[in-house]
Amino acid sequence: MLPLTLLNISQGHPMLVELKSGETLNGHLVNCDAWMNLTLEEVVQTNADGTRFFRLPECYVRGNNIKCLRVPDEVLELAREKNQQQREESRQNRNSNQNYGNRGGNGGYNNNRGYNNHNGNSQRGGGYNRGGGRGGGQFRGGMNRGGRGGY
Amino acid sequence: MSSHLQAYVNQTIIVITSDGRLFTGNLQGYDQQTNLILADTKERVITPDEPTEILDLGVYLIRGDSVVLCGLVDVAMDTEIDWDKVRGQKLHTTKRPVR
Repeated sequence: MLPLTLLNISQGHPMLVELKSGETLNGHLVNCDAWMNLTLEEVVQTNADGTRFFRLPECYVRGNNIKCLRVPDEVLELAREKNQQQREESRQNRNSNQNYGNRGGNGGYNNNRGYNNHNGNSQRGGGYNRGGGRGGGQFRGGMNRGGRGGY
Repeated sequence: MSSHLQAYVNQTIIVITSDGRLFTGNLQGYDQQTNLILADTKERVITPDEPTEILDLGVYLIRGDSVVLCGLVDVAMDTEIDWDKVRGQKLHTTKRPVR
């Protein structure tokens, strides 16, 4: 998981930002970008010695001043879930692209590699059952139906 | 370059930062700038004449700028250490103060 992904997911959550100067900012993350520039809301700013506190309704931090960020545990959990979800989606997309290529480019001649062979056949079956009705704009839906048709 | 950190993902690592602090945690992720995500982060404050203080910090994102070193921890060996008895000089910062 990339650090900036975690930061993006932290939007709307409370966090503690420590600056290189030793100051800390405690607030809710509103926005962030690829340079780690942040906007925070409802901030409590603490000086480097931890002796003085300031309340700021909003503040902007240029990323290069940041030393580290402390985020709540549940944000990491959230990030893990989203990561997993994305991985599954991209896997599905890849499969459906293969399927599409199979029907089109290869014209039914199966040159897929090993683990795909059975699947390739069943998918072709499914595609055939559905007939040529819809021109080829069916990516994910097409795959699912193809799969089931084969079984 | 930083792809060497891939071997440390999901392992317990130790990080020394440019202000001379010492963090241990489980590496969850990193990027080209050596920004790090640590889970179960603990900061060890080692001083010359008091027991080592261990602070529980949870999930920490350390900006690459301030990373000096990250190393793999031998967890078995690490748990054997009685940190209460450990004493040591404070680490200096890597930055030279402007006077």
